[in-house]
Amino acid sequence: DRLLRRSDPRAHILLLWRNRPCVVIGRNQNPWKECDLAALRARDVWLARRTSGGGAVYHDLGNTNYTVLMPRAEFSRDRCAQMVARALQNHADVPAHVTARHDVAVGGRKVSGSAFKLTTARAFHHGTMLIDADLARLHGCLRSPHAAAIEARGVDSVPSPVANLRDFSWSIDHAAFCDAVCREFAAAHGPVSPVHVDPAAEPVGPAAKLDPDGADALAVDAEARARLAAWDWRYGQTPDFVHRLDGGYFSWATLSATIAVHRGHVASAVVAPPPDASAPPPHVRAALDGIAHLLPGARYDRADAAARLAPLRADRHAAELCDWILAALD
Amino acid sequence: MFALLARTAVRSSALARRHLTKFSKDHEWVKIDQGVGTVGITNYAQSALGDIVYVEIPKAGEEVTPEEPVGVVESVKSTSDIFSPLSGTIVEANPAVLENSKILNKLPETDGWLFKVKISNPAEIEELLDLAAYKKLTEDEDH
Repeated sequence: DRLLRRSDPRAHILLLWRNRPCVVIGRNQNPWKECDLAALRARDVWLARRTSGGGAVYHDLGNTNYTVLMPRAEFSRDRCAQMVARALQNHADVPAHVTARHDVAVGGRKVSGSAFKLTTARAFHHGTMLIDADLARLHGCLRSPHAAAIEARGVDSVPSPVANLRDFSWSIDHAAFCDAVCREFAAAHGPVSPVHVDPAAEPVGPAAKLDPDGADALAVDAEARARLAAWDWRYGQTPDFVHRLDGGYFSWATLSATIAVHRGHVASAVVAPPPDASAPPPHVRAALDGIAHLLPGARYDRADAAARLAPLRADRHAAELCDWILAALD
Repeated sequence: MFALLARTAVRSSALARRHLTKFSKDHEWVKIDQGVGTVGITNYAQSALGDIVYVEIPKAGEEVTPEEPVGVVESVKSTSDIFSPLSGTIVEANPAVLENSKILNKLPETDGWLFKVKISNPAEIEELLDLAAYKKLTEDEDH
C-alpha cells in the first residue's frame, strides 16, 4: 500500500517476499468462516487481513509471495500471472499455466493464488507461490468447522486442490523462483536495477527491482503496522454475519442459537427451543434471557464472551448452555 | 454591505435551485439537488471493474471528504476504494446495493446509487468534471 501511494505511478515494480506462518484473508472475508481459528492458535499460525480482495491463503517460509505494481492503464488480471507462469516455464522447467480464475496452476493443481487492488492511477497484483510449504498445515488451517453454520455478507474463498512446485521440480527453491521471476520481469519491462526506496518518498524510476537488503524499502510504517495488526482490522473489519448453532441437545431441553455479529462484536444472541416445543421452565427461561442480555457487545471471541457470561455460571443449566455456545466461538 | 448580502443571498438560492450532475476522476457521478449530492459509480467504472461481488458504503451520520476512501467495491478478487466527490455528512446509504451488489453492474447510474451526502463546501462542486470533460477522460483512458 505504501509503495502504491509513494512510488512513481508510471513505474513497474516487482517485490518478492516471504514470511513466517500465517493465514491471510481477503479484505472482505470472514475469518470464522474461512479458517479454523483454534487450529491457527494451536499451531502458532498468525491471522492477517490484506487490503486486496479474493480468498484465504496460507503462508509459511515454503511459500514465496510476489507483488507487481503497475500503472492502472496497463492492468489486467492475467498479465502478471502469465509473467509468473512464463518464468516457471522458461527458467524452472515447470509447465505452469494461468487458470480462468487468474491463478497459476500446474496440471490440475493450483500453485499460486492471486488478489488485486485498484486505484485511479495504479494497480497491484499480488500472489502466493507454494514452493515447499506445509500443505497438511495449510489444509488444517483453511477448513473452518463453522463454515456451514455461518451466513455472511462478504466474499467466500473458492477452494481448489493445491500443490507445491516441489512436486514438479527437485531444484526449485525460493532463490530460484525469485531469480526466474526477476528475469521474466526484466524481459517484459527492460533492464531492472535494485533501488532503495527512501521513506521520504523519492519516486522510483520505471522498472525497478527493490534491493531486499535495503532497509528503507522494507521499513514498515509504524502507524500502518499498528492499524493492520489491530483486532479491529483483522477481526472487526468482517462484514455482518449470522452464526446459527443447532445441536443444542441437553438432557433438560433441545435448543438452537442465532448469533448476529456486526464489526466483530455480538449484536444479538437468541437461544430458543424449536417452535413446536413447549415453553421452557422458568430457570431455563432465565438462562436464555441471561444470554440474550449479557452477550451483545462482546467481541466474537471465546475469552471476551466467557467473561460476559460469567454471572450465569452459578446455575448448572446455564453453565452447560454457556459452554456449548463458547465452544462454537473458536 | 447591503449589496454584498443581496448578492450572496441570490447566489445561495441559485445554488439551492441548481440540479446538476458532475463527475470525479475516480469515475463517480454526483447529482446535486438542494444542497444534497447523490453519489454512485459510472457505467464506465462498473464495466471496467467486472462483476461486483461486494460493496461497503458509509453510514448516515459519517463525515466525509474527497481525500479519504469512504467505502469499497470488490469485483473478481480486486478491491477498489469508493470516495465521496464532495465533503459533507452522509444522510443516507442505499440499502438496495447492500442487498444485491449486482444492481451496481446493471443500473450504476440510477437504482445503484451508493449514498447521499449533505454538502458542506459547495466550492468543491466547481472542481468536478462536467459531462463533456468526463467523456473526454474516459476516451483518453481507453485510447
